[in-house]
Amino acid sequence: MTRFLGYVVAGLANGTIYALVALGVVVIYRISRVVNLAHGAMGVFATYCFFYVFIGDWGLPVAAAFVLTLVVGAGLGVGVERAFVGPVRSRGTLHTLVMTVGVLLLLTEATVQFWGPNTPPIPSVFPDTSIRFGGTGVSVHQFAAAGFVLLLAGGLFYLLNRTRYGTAVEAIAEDPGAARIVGLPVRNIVTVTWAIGGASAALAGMLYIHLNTLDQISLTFVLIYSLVAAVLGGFNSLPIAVLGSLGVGVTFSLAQGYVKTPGFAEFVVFLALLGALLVQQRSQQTSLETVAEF
Amino acid sequence: MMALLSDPAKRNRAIVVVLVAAAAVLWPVFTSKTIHFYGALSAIYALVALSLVILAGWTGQVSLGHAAFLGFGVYIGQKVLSAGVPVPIAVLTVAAFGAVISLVLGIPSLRLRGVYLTIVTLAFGAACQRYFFQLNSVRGFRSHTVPRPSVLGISTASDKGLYYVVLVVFAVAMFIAWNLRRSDTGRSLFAIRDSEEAAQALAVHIAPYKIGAFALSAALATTAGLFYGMLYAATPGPDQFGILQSFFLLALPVVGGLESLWGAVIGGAFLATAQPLVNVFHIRLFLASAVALILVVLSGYDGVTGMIAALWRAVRTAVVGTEHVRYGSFVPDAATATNGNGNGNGKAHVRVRVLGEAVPGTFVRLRVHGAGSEDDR
Repeated sequence: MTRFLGYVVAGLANGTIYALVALGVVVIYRISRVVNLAHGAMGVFATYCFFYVFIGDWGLPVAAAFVLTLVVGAGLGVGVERAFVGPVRSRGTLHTLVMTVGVLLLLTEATVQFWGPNTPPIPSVFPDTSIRFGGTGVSVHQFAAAGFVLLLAGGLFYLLNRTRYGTAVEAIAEDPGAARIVGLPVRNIVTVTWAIGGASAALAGMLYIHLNTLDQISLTFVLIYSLVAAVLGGFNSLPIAVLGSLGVGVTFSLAQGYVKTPGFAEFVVFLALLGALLVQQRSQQTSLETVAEF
Repeated sequence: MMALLSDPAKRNRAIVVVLVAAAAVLWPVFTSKTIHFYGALSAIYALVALSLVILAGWTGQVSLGHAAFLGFGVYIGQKVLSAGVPVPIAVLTVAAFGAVISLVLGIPSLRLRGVYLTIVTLAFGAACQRYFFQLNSVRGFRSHTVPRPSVLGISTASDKGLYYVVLVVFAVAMFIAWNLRRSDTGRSLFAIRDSEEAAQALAVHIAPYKIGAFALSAALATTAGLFYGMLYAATPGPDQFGILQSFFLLALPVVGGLESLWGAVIGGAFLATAQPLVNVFHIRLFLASAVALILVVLSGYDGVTGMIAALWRAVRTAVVGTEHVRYGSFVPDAATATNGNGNGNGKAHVRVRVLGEAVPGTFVRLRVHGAGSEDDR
């Protein structure tokens, strides 16, 4: 039983980071109707800047580097929208999707080209001192990660579902032209939303990679787990994305804990995705199809 | 045959096909062995690119699991070939295997609209890289040797021989795809890609077409995997068929041109030229292909094929002075060819009726496809 509890706690700790990625993906989907496959790569690229440039080259204290990395992440988000995704958005889902794949490959390979395929451990702003919790230790870092997720999820939920900004996001996603005619600052809102998405990717990158090793592709695997949760919520619901990510985290941890075959957890997540798709209703996705022109 | 000679557009196309085919057959005669390896690899990648042209270009669905299909082709193909099965039967077995896997992925995701196939294939790629390919029954930790039996008298012991075998398979696949494109099935696929609502209104059953196209695509990709294993004469590790490779494979047809069959040829040739080039400049192949992919998508043309076509049109308009009539994807060439009033003499009759009074000097411009003539009355 303690073993089970231990796996659940570890799964929840990982699930919070999946939730962070899922939040970013859903936010970007809600403004641009684009499934941003480059999300993980953006987080990894920002984290490489965090470790090699801000801490390594410039010798900044970890906290300053942490804040600077969030800014870099936000900048990456805006840059990807302005330079790559925005210009092809009017040509439909196929082109935007292929474009995000291109950005993913570009950012991933750029990190290898600049910094080599090394995988060093990276520092965290938060201490690794462990707090005993139901038979397993949870580090302060993991608690901080969970705190960030709750804060971000709550803040985004309020912002998108209860304020005029959220209504504006909805309006722009539905029809950017009409949104501009009624006087909404379309460009600014798109920029701010992608900045939030990019910063959350950078945050997820730093938090996740501290627990693992600095690997170019690792966060793209996390993105896959997050997409399972995002699919459950129809790419629209923040609460389902968060809860789904936690569920995926726990499932993953249990599968990894009880079945020792390498990669069995990936297999279970894949099955979970097939299951999630089978329960998807056709009616649910009419709102997902609107692709309008900027 | 007469149509081929009388219609200049068709004749030009036939000449290009013959020239390219001749070049593909003849070049290994004049080159060295190391280049033969890249040639065979390019032909294999062209087969993968063709599979993605059918899926992404014709139905608008993106698969990010094609490296996994390639990997299954390598691993399953190794087992089949080691059992002494002749290559033609091995190709059919492996292709059927790929098609069956594609049904497992396609049925839950393609009945829905949207990007779900992309997500499922991505998760499938991850599961293959980390789980399926690590199983001892699939590949495990040890590399196995892949036999290279001769195919219908052609020895595949040299890369040159293998190249010719892959070329034949590729030609057959191209022929099937070309026929598919001109058929009702092909037009239904294009209709679905352009607008699912419109296709549904025309009573097209959407899901079976999308699932079928994905199955054909997966079968071609696994077939390519069989030859990939034969080329390396071994089973490369699971990381060679990971999700990163799937992104790279998608770049090939996008750079070549997603809508046209030529896109697959150029996508494969892109690899052959890019690999030596990036080695010279010490940049990574995937980085170079990512840059090429992004530039092509930003350019707005349909890959290199689209750029060449646009250039050709521009030059011809400048030289000849007439503009080619372009039809939407719904109108096949055959439908625009006129048979006259049924006696098949090839003369079209166009009757122009001016409603109201015709001002003297009214200008009626008639453009006829193919003949390039223009009548002013």
